[in-house]
This record gives sequence, C-alpha cells and structure tokens, in this order.
Amino acid sequence: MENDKNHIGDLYQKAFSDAGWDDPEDEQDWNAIAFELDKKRFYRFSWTRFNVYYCGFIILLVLLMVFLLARYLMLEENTFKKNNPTHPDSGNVSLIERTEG
Amino acid sequence: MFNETEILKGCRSFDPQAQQQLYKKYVSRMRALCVRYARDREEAKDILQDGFLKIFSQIGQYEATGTLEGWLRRIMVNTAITFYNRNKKHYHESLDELLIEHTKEEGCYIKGPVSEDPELFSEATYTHEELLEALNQLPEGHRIVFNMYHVEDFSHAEIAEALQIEEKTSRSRLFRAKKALQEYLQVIANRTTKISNI
Repeated sequence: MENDKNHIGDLYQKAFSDAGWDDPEDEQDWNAIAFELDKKRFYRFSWTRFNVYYCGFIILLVLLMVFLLARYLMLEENTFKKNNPTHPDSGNVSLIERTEG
Repeated sequence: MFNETEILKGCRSFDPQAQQQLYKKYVSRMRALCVRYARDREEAKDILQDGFLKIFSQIGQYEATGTLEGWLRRIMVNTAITFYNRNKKHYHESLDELLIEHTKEEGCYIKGPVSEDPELFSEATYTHEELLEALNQLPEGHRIVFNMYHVEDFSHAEIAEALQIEEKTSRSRLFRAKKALQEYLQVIANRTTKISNI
C-alpha cells in the first residue's frame, strides 16, 4: 500500500469509516427492496412457500383435470351412441326420419 | 430481535423477517457509504437498493472469514463502481478538468498556497454534511478514487483494475482530489469562522 496518506485522508477516514447516515425515508426504501425480494422469492424453489413451481404445478393439475373431463365426456357420448343406435341424439337417424316421425 | 448468526441463517433461507433485520442493522452505515460515492441523493438511493438486493442474493457466498460489515461494504462499493462505470460513457474526464477550471473561475477555489494547518484538518472542525459538501464538489472520477483509496483502503492497483484506468491516472486523480478538497475545506472553515464571528 502506498504511503502517501495525509491529514485530509485521515480526516475523511475517521469521519466516514464508521459513520451512520439516517434518513427518514428508510421505511420507504425498505418497501422498494422488499417488493423486489418478493419477486425473487417467487422464482426461488422452496417446499414451504408459494412460488412459481407450486403455481406451475397447480396450472398443470387444472389442465390435466380439464383434459380428463373432456375425455370422460367424449367416452360417455360414444358409449351412449353405441348403446342407443336409434335414438335421435345418436346421429344414426337422419333429419327426415326424425321429422316424419 | 435476532442475533447476527440467526440473521445470517434466516437471510440464507430468504426469510423476509431476517432480511429486514439485516437491512435495519446496516442501512445507516451503508447509506453513509453510498452518499460518498453518488452524485446526488437519488443516485445514492439507487446504489443502496441495488447493493442490498445483491447482498441478499449473494449472502450464501459469505464465508465468515472476515466481518459481515466488511463483506457488505465490499458489495456496496462494487455496486457504486458498477454505477460509475455504467455512467462514465456519458461523462468524460476532460469535462472533469473543465469543471475544476470553471469552479476556479467562479471563485470557489482559494488562490495561493494551500494551508497545511493541522487544525484545518481536524475532525472536530467539520460536520459530516460539510465534509460531504466538499467531497461532492469533486468531479466524479476524482471523488471515487479518493473514497476508495482513503476511506476503503484500496491500493492504486486495485482502483485501476476496478475503474478500468491506469495506475498513474489513479494517482493523479487522487493528488488533484486532495488538493481540491483542501481548498474547499478551507473555504468552508473560513465561512464557518465568519458566521461564528457574527
């Protein structure tokens, strides 16, 4: 380390190396930091906190349930058509036959 | 209230309460550091916020070999240097020189030899605000070198590497910064004496 320190350097080092600087806006500044930290926390993996992975898992579950429900309804419809070939809703009877009666 | 070990443990697991405790414990000292490096209060705020976000993201890398405060200060100084390096594209050192010349013409500089009176450089003579006022008169590149060398104890080689300048540039900026500060402090001391005489 160069040895060219002088009075002025000592003055600033003494005054500022351990100095505090209070600001009434500390709470506001913390809020801005906390908001950013919440965003980071959301993208961080954790078993105990709600985060993007839980969110993704829930969306995946919802999509899976919608898919299974749609598939179930389609199967039901096919079974109904198979079991009732003459029923108007089965699609095997033409419109003319249905109106004639 | 947590102790430092609990705060560290909590911060490593991203616990919001521990993070707030760490912030409350060190914010005033970190702000004092930021205001020395920033051009104004707004920039100091930005450096402080960015610095704390870096601290919370990198706290897992802290090994308890040195003091926690020392590690926090390092991160804050690095954040301030990043801000300086980002902005210096729009700020030429030749402009720094011009500013010094202009300020001299405006009469803020004292003509003649600089006083070496130890009383003039006594801590008791100035408030923190006055010391900061004098520091803020310096061009950005000079101020940052002065802070790094005298308050944070960096060597010229470290300063040169961090600021991407040559070592001799760092030395010359330090020399000019000290000279200018001596003159500004003398102005402030004279002003204070005049006021107290009234």
